[in-house]
Amino acid sequence: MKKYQIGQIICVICIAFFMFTQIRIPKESGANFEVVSQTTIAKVDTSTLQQQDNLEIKQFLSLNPEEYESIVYYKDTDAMKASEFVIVKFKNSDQANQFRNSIDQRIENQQKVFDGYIEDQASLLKQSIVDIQGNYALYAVLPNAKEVDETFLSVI
Amino acid sequence: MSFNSLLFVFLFLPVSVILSFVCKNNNLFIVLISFLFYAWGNPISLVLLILYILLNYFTALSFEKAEGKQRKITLIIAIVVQVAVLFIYKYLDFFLPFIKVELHAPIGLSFFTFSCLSYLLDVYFGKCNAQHNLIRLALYVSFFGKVTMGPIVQYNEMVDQIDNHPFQIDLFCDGIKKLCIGLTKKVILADSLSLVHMNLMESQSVLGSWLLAITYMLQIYFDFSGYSDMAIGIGEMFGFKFKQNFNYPYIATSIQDFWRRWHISLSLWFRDYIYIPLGGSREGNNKYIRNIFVVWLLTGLWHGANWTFIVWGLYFAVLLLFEKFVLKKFWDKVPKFICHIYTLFLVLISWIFFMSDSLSSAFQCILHMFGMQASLLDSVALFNLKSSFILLVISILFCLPIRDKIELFICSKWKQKGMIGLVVVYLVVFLVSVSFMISSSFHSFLYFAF
Amino acid sequence: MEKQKLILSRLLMLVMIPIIVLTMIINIVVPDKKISEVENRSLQSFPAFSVNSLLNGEFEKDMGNWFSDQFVGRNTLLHIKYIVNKMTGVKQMDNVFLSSSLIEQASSANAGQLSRNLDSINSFYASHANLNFQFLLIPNAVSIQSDLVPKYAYTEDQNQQMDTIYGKLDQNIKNVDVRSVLKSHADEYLYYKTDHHWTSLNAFYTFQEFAKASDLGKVKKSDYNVYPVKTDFKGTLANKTGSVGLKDTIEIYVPKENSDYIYTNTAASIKSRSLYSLEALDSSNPYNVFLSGNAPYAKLEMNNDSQKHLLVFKDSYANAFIPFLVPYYRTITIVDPRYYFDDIESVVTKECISDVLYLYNANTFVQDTSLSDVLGE
Repeated sequence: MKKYQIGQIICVICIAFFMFTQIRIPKESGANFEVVSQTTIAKVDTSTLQQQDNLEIKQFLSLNPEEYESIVYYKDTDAMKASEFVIVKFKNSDQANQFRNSIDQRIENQQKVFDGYIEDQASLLKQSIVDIQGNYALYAVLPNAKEVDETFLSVI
Repeated sequence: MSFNSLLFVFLFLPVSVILSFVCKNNNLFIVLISFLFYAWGNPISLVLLILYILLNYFTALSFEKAEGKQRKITLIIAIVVQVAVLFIYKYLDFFLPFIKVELHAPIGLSFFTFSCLSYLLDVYFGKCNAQHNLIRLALYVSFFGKVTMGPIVQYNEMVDQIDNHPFQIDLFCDGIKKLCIGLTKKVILADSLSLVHMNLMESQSVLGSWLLAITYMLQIYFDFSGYSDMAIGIGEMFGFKFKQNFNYPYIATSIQDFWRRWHISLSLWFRDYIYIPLGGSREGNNKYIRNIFVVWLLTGLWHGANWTFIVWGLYFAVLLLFEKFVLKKFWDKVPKFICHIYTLFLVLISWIFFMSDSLSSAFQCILHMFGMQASLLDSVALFNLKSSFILLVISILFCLPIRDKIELFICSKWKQKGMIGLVVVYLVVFLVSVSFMISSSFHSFLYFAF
Repeated sequence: MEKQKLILSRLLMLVMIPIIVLTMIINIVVPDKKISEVENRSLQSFPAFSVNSLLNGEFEKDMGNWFSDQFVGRNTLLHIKYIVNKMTGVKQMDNVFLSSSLIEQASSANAGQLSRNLDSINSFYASHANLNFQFLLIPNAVSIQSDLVPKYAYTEDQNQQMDTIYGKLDQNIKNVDVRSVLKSHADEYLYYKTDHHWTSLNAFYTFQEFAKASDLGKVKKSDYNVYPVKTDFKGTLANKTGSVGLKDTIEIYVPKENSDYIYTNTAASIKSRSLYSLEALDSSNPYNVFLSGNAPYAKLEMNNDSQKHLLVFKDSYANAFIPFLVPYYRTITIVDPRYYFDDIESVVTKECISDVLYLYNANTFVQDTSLSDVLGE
């Protein structure tokens, strides 16, 4: 009986520990934006991508760059290619929802343009990543989007 | 993984069945494939399932030699832990909304928690002996046929079968039949009805809101009973015989009768593990009324963390008490068709609460149904009625226990030819089911969140 | 009775087991397909394995998609679904109405963007008032062939959408409203049964009206040779619904008195003397026979006597219309704002643009998000 009780208690502890690891409280990253963006961008093939200015961020993404602490946006220079990515640091994590909505709309618009028309770009869009982590977010439509996301996660 | 995916029907299931047949339904093998099934898509949750099996294993074994207070404390610890986990995953947000955490409940948490509690309570109250064989207990808790969506098989029901569930040809064949029937119910009827239901949300008319409620009523029946059919069928393929979970609930003649036909395993669980330990109806009317309210409040909450579910549960509590204290005296003298209409109408109203996101939208739907703040007809309602008319007729027909009767009739009239004809019908319907599975994107099982 | 039940289920088992096992084996053995022609999309291939993707469920989800996308007989099964839908009276799949023809619902307007586009059109006029502006908005099957739309079906009122748009245009932009003309031919083959585009016959009637409104002269059907170039065309709506039993014919209208021209489309690496792409007829997008499909920028240079240089802002409907314009302009510059990111002003200057035409179909126009960016706000 004693050993069974010990077994029970160990299980209870393990369950508690498991729950603890599962609870995700959205936390803010203290990482420096320059560092985050440089490290993440290093994983991207920027040979055909060009950094976009504030006007273009407003134009293509319907986002107001002044609202955020920092934002960087790269897009492919070829109009028939869908590759692009955004790294943003929010001033506060409440901005995440609105960012998400704008990006979802961008993805939807792009899909309308490429779907059934230029298939490889359409599938690139299907695998796009929108990763929001507290006060940092990444949006990537890239051939190696997952890899870029992993780098992004490791540096924030 | 879910039963209505092509990967399951055409890869996982045939491979598991064949391999299991080869190793004579060996328990360890079945546990391993059940773990694979459960972990598919969310491997981390498997950790919790295994911890639960171990927790309950040790807990029940420590009952065996312990006495009195010690026994009780051991039981309470295990129950509290499992209920607490359920609470945190499902109800924390509802009861304590100021605590902001992000949590994704492991699938089937409500189902396998109840299975585990059934085991503990059966052993504690002496109904069964503690299971010394860990694999056997693991099989009871995690068998893939029932781990994610039920039925909630009680331990005492399954314990004798666990060490004795050989392959039986007729049971197996019945399993295949149930699998086909369940798949059809879910993939053709329930999913199509759900599309119509979603379209009808746009309607603001009397007709529209009635159709909205009726399509939901049909959809949830086919969805859940279809899945249960598949679950029981899969159990049969592995030599297990589980009790039926649905018995044509919409032909019930009273609310009490309805609950003997709907989600039978859940109501039996609440009866055996909450209602009866609380005294049931044997300790006077006041306690009886209290027990009814407790059980139905919990039944409502079990389905989800929302006021609508609480109201849904308590609604039935009130109706059941009303039937017991008022109607029972003369109910058998009332013409049957009135009993049917009474039951169907009250059940329909209950589904409105169940399907709504909030109490206000539930009441709004009811208002619309009775002509308040709504036009009589609108084009959304008419369009959907026209497009889904045949679907509705077929669905309503299959709520009645006619399939068996039709099959028997055909077999007796046309003998061999009839049987072949029926098999062809089953094949064609199966083919159509597969075509529906191919073309659907993601259709979630309504009870998936439990 | 019980015995009969048993025999029935045994029979069923004897049939189902081989079918399921055989299907499983065929699925595993037959090599994967890359694209689906019926659905016009790429099909999931066996996913790459990584511990990470296994843990977060991506691998399992992709594997489920792979199994379903590569399922044997997938195309036939999609057709079966369509047939079952039609047989049970289902009149709408997604946003497509099922009728004797497949008809797309009218798109709902993206109000904010729509007014931005109209404002840009007006201000573009204001800054180039010396040019001749025309606006040609083509209604879709849903409003012209409204008799085919199932009764009580919900769709936005495209006529009202178009009236609102016309109301907001500057007076000086010539609006060519072809709705009543098309309505008078509504029983003819104006729209493809399986595709959201219009037929060349429709483009002809529209051009006839356009020519009248723009003083280009009277145009008759006998001015053209009509060649059917594809008789088993199954378009985008067939892809969407898996339809069975419907097909279309694509025709091209070649003017009997035609100009020679050179068609340049750098995005598709084309410099040719024909604006038709016959290879496209065998591809998954046969409608691309017209102008080889969409491109950010393309140009037609003619050797006729016209003094006019036309700039067209368009969507894919225009592709079937532009061939009719060829004899009447010296050059036609074609810009698709969805893909164009250069400076339009330099085009206006360099190519001595004298006429500007906006040519869209209503469904695309009310949701367009690119025109105002190209015109400048």
